Amino acid sequence: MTLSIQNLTAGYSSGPDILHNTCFELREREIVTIIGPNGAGKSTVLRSIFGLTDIRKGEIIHGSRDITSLSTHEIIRSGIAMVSQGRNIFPDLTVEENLEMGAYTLRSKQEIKDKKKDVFQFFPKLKSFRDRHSGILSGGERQMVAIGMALMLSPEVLLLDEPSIGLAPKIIDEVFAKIQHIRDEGASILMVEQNASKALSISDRGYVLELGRNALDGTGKKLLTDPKVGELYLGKKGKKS
Amino acid sequence: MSDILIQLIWNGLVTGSLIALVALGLTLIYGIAHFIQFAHGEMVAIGAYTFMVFHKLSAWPIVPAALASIFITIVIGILLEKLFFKPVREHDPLIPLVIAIGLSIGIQALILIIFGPNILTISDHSYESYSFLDGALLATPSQILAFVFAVVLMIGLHLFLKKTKRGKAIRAISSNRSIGKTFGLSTDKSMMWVFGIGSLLTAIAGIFLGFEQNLEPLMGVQISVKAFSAVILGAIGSVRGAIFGSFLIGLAESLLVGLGIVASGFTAGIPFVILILMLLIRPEGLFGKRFVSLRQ
Repeated sequence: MTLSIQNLTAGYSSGPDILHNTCFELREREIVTIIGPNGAGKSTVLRSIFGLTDIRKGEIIHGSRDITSLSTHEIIRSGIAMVSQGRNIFPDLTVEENLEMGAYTLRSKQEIKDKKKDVFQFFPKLKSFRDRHSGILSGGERQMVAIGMALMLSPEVLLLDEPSIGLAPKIIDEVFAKIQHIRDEGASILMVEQNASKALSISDRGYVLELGRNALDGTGKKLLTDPKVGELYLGKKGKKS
Repeated sequence: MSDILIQLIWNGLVTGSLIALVALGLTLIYGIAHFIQFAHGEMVAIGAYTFMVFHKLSAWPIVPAALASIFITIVIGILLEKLFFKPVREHDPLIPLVIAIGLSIGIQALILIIFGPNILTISDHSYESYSFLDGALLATPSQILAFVFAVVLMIGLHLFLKKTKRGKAIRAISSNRSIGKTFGLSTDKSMMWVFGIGSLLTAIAGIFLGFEQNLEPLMGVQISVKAFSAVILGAIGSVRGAIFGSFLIGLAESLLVGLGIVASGFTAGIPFVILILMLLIRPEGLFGKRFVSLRQ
């Protein structure tokens, strides 16, 4: 088990609980997707793993290590990286500087240089944009920068918060292909997605979250064909799929 | 005529350098903390008064007195951030703004209580001016040093922000604070650096201003008003803009008054007239981005 989240109850500062006793598991080299309606707490799961929420109960184990109460900095060093939703780059910095900031927690200059080379190899387009301000890039290119920043850390576990949000369908396919590619190179991926059908189709397993509680889980295929999931999240009710 | 012009341009450049030292801190703080640090001008007065205490009252030589005054100003600047601005960092920028106005008035009052309302001089010595270009240009040693220091500090700041890891992190946090968090960048550290650098620059401005003019409790307000105009003129948050705006205001003041176009009693109004014109013609500032959407 790469990542194991047990009985997690969490919220923000003095606010109410957003997650209630939720459990998730991520095994090695898996793509796991959490789907669910708006406000179900999907992003809160990822933010909790990353030490950005107030965890009130439960534990988060990475490998054999309890990371529940570690700081974000330490969680990054334990081998987890996160790509946030939406405004997820530094728009006033160049593409190359964005990547360097992705590797902020790395100390060795040589390592940062090598990683930058790897990321440029993975996203060749970014290399030709390296000196451009990332704020002027298109939505798809910005998402590549954001994922590239996380890849600078060669994470064991990659958390992706709505990687397809705001992107054109063709670009979404490109991004999802890259996500599969990242998994093939050895990372485990936990993803939150609104675009449930596309996300589940590349996922090994999935979880359905409703109002901060586990509602359903199973393999990507099983959830895709589950009538309840279809009705609620894939827009299949009374329409052709 | 051309002799006067050379002298006026030189005076304008020196004034512009001093404004720039204050404006750079203002623009950096705005960039990262998103509020106008109205007490930033008071850091000029703190720099000048502490230098006076060490140099004139305690008879320390110039360099150690300057270093001590710069150090104290930096510590005070960082403390102000930690004590007053950090607790309201996640609030509406209006709150730190009001706190800054309060701090500005408080520090002025404190200077008034400690040193009294009278105008003081920073040093008992008077320094001979140097003459250049067959007497066409007279420059005091402190003018020359102020200009050289300002230029060196501007280049240094530019290199720091563009080339060093800390500098890039400051720009990153200024650009998108919440994403910085997800990559382990510390907002606290960047804030500390920005307030520290801002205070360093204002302390140096204060010392030179003390040599050029006199010390008075409200000296910080006079220069920070100009610096504020310079920052808006150049585009708030922009380092290039702050430098450009500062020199523009310094030169405009010197030339308009020196050539008799504006009566010297109206000097203080010049930055505002330029500022108002600018806001009418190009409200985003000279180096501003016309389309905010580019910032995502």
